[in-house]
Amino acid sequence: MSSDTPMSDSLRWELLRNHNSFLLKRGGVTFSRDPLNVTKSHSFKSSGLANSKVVAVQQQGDKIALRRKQRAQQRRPRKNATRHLLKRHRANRTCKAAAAIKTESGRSFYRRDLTQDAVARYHALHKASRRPKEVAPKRPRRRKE
Amino acid sequence: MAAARPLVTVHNHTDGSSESQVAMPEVFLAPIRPDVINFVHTNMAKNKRQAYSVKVHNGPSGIVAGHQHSAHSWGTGRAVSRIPRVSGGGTHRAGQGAFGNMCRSGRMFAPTKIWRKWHRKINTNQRRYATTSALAASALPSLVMARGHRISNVPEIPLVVGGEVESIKKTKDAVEALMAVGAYTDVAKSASTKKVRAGKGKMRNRRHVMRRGPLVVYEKDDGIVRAFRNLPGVELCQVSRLNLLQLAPGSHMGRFIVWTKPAFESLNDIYGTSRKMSVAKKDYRLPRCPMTNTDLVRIINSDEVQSKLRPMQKQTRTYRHKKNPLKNLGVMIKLNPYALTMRRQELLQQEIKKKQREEIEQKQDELDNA
Repeated sequence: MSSDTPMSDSLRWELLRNHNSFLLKRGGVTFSRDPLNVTKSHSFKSSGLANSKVVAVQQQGDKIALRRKQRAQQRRPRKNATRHLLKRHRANRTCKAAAAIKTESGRSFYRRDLTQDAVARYHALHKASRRPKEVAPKRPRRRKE
Repeated sequence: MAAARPLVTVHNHTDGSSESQVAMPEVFLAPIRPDVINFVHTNMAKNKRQAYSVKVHNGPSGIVAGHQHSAHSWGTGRAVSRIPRVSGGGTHRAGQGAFGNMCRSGRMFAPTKIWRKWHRKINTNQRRYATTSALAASALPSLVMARGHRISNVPEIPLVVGGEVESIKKTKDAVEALMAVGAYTDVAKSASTKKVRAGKGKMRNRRHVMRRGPLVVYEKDDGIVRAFRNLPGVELCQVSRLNLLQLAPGSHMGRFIVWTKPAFESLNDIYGTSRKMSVAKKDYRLPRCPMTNTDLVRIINSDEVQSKLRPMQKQTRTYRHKKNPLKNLGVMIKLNPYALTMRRQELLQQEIKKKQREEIEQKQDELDNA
């Protein structure tokens, strides 16, 4: 009898599928708030919790970071997450950030199926960060008279 | 044969550096069964209930509130409904309806009794199965995160701290220990979620609610309980008395647990291993996993499975828009190739008949005109 727990991505997904704190079910739609989920859809393929190999794009301050999970450090949350800041958007008529994402997720077949989603998310975040933030006009608190 | 047992680092509580390493106890490799945990949890949660019932006079099987009248129905013929009415006179109450659940000041429907079954018995083995399952779940970072704990800064799961933590006396030192080990984020999250309860519980001595933080499991209380107990969200438990209600609060497995080294090491004695029966629990051995290989993706893609599969069937083309073969010759021909020749023959016959008719008509015309 093996003393290793038969833990696999599929089993983890079965345990997390029906409820987890990142699951969002509202108004007929289902999403996932998992920070390591690229598409934020609630599915095995994109789940950041269930998979041991994960590619995610996150906002970090005013920069955007690409995140991966290290396969060897499954039980060590602090070391598990690798962050790769995508600093340069464009250089020499190519999107450098998108190229970086493609190499990171494609390198040794890490998560090639998520490459397109990661690039799409990067562009969406980049666009949003360039949009001037709409600040609501500050209304002073008025005393009720 | 079993592979080398995974080693868990023991962290120093002052600076979080690694002190030593301990082999992971086999409880953490028990099967994870949310269904068993759910069942045992729902039943265990009932065991701390206190009885309640509607006010009863003269003992539990006495007169229920709402029945303290000698009310009788007036019967028919008096232009009032047949509900029992309060006897006597000289007051508004006289003649009013009584005893029904629909009556004002009547007794409720099915008055609650104290002999309701408040507590539940659960089989010992089931309880233990649930506890080991919950412990195994607490060793998986994904499940702990899914439960909502903030553990991204924790160096390792399961988190083991050196035995000196058990002698901490001051809460200040307790906070520093948790910070050194990256567990304080979860405590902070707990503290920030303290709110007044929604609902009547706030007037019933259950005013505040907040999320649960880490569970600190120790072996010997040398001050640790007093040091940690005031921290928001933090709960303490002695190893030999692990409680499912704390390991899987709300029957949601994956509590964030901070172990002390002596507690962690004693788990093998308390729960046993695959080869050794439990010392502390009589006749108990760890449950076995029904499936040894759970990687579905790998199983499906394995040679053994793939070699037995029939070749993938190409999808037969379905109609994009079904066209009527009786009207559409092309579709008809696809179904019945002979239809083409039949049609051709029809057309030829029509031509021949048409020509014959024309000849006859021509002859008729000539005869008419002559």
